[in-house]
Amino acid sequence: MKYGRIFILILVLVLAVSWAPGVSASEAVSGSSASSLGCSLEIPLDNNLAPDVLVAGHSWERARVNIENPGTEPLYNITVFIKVPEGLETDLSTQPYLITKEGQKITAEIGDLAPGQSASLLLDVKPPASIEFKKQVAFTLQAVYSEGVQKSEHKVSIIPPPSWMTYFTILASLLLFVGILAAIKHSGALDLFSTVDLITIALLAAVIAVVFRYLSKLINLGWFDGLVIAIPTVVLMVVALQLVRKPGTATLLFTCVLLISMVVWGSHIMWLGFYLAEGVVVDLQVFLFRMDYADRRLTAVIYGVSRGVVSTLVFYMLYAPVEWKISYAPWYIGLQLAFACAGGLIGGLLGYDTAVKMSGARL
Amino acid sequence: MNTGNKILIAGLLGAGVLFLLPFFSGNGGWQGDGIPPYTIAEGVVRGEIHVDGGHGYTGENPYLQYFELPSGEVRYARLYVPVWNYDSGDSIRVTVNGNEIAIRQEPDYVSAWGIALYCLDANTSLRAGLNEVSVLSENPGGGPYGITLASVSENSSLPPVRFWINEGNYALTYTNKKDSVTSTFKGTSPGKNASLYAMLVAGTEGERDELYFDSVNIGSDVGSSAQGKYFDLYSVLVSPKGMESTLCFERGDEGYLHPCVAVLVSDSESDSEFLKLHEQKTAKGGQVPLPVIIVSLLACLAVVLRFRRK
Repeated sequence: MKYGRIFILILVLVLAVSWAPGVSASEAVSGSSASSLGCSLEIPLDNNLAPDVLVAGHSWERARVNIENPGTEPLYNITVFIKVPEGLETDLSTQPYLITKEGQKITAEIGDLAPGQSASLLLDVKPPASIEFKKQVAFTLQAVYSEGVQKSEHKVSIIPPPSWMTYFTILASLLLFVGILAAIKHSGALDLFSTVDLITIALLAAVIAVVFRYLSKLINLGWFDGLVIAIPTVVLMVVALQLVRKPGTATLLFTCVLLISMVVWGSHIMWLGFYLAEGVVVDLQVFLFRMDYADRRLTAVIYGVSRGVVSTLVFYMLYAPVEWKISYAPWYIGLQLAFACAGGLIGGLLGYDTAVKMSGARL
Repeated sequence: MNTGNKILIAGLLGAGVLFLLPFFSGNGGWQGDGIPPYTIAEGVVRGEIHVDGGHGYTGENPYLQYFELPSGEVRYARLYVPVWNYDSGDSIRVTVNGNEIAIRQEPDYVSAWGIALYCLDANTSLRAGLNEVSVLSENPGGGPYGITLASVSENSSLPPVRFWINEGNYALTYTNKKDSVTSTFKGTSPGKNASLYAMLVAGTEGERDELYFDSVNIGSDVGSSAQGKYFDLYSVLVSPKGMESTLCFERGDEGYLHPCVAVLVSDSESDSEFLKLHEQKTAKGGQVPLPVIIVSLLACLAVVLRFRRK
């Protein structure tokens, strides 16, 4: 019965993905319908990224200016003037139109457009290396043609470079880590862990860090790739909680996952905060539920889902902008959040059954 | 059969599936160190060698790149499409000037965690002047880093040039602890002026790498995402020191750096034209990394011990 529910859940997710915006090819934003010439700008071109957002310190991003004749009459001698905001560097690649740049002004000679015909100009845009605060800048697009002139603005937000946040994240992670170690030493919590406990945690962490990570690259399920690693990770987390049954088990487990990943795959210490966050949130809940080490199906699911929510939010809202300087679209983060919750739910249910069988007694 | 035995059998079956999985899934996971760039084509031609490309990982689909080719007949042309996050089942569809030239699933070279390079002959599809190359990729979470073209155009009014086109895909990473790789050009003329082009992917600005030609440093932080995100097409004037020149990529501080293409174009000592195409090499299939095998064995052992004790 419960597997039937899991199947229904996966089916619902498949349907949700197929209806999610951006999964199917998105149409270019058309220009003002009041004018006989449509002129709009798209940046970045990746559907998964937040539209009209650039992260300072990032490399080149491609922009596309779409010019369209939606009317019923041809338009002649179209020239597009683009004023690029100060602080943004631009580069023009070879393309079918005569396009020149002078300072922050770009001129493109499009020529004539028949009714329904469109043209695209490509610009490579590089945001500034750093800005102090988030700011909004505007591209000015002016299309001049025999029949008239059309002028429009296209606003783009530039997010500050998260370099300071990088250092803060690393520092905060290290402080948290040191704090946890100090607390463990002070409370004698480490003494609570027997040698068998530590070996169990190390082995489960090694399976997550080495085997699951490897397997996740073998399986190509497209949008569902996240589930491939989320489900077994939660299963092993619940198993660790039930087998070890000590405060701080989840934090120790995920810290070990990072340490093993650093040795085997060369992961960066910067990810310490990410791994600590998902461990700490589960251990806090163990305390909140009065030392319930996923002893009930419900708590196993709650731990799995909350671990998924925290890891997804920390990754997409903090680490993606910090590490790769990209800003994901809200719908995409929401979709990944849904996958993480599904992974936590399925992993929690499977993990509970596995852990009960492994510990040899139903509590 | 008691529960312990059931789980023991399930564990052993799981371990068996784990070891068989790579054989069924083809390329996947860590896909090896790859192949250092080697000479795929060389020759002497009266005309021009055109090397151009761009524009980094942008997530656009289809991915568009325009090439302006010099006048003359295109005698040889090789299109390079490096791709991020290749997994089994992914594919690309390449169109040149509106004509589909290939639908490819298997890349020609793949290394590390799925950094792939597709190589396509495009002699008959390209022409002098402006050419549009479009790549439609089926690759969730990935896509092209760029499109690079190395073409040989004949023009009898121009002096002969000697050229070498080297291709491959070698993973210089901290993961596999590979710090440098070389690519050789055989039959170079000492002292002649030459132009060198190198296409690298996955390089990051600020992570300093080094490039040497015949032991002379010809660039630092070459993999700096200069032409776009994680894409570099570096060009520099060089002068060969001997009859065989060596290009050496040093990883330095880079976490990941994949030298894929190196083209050398020099003045020719000979007037006799030729075009020699070399056999394409194939990389060894992905291997299961040793840590994965060790951890899997330990996990299986732990499961067996636990249930034997019961």
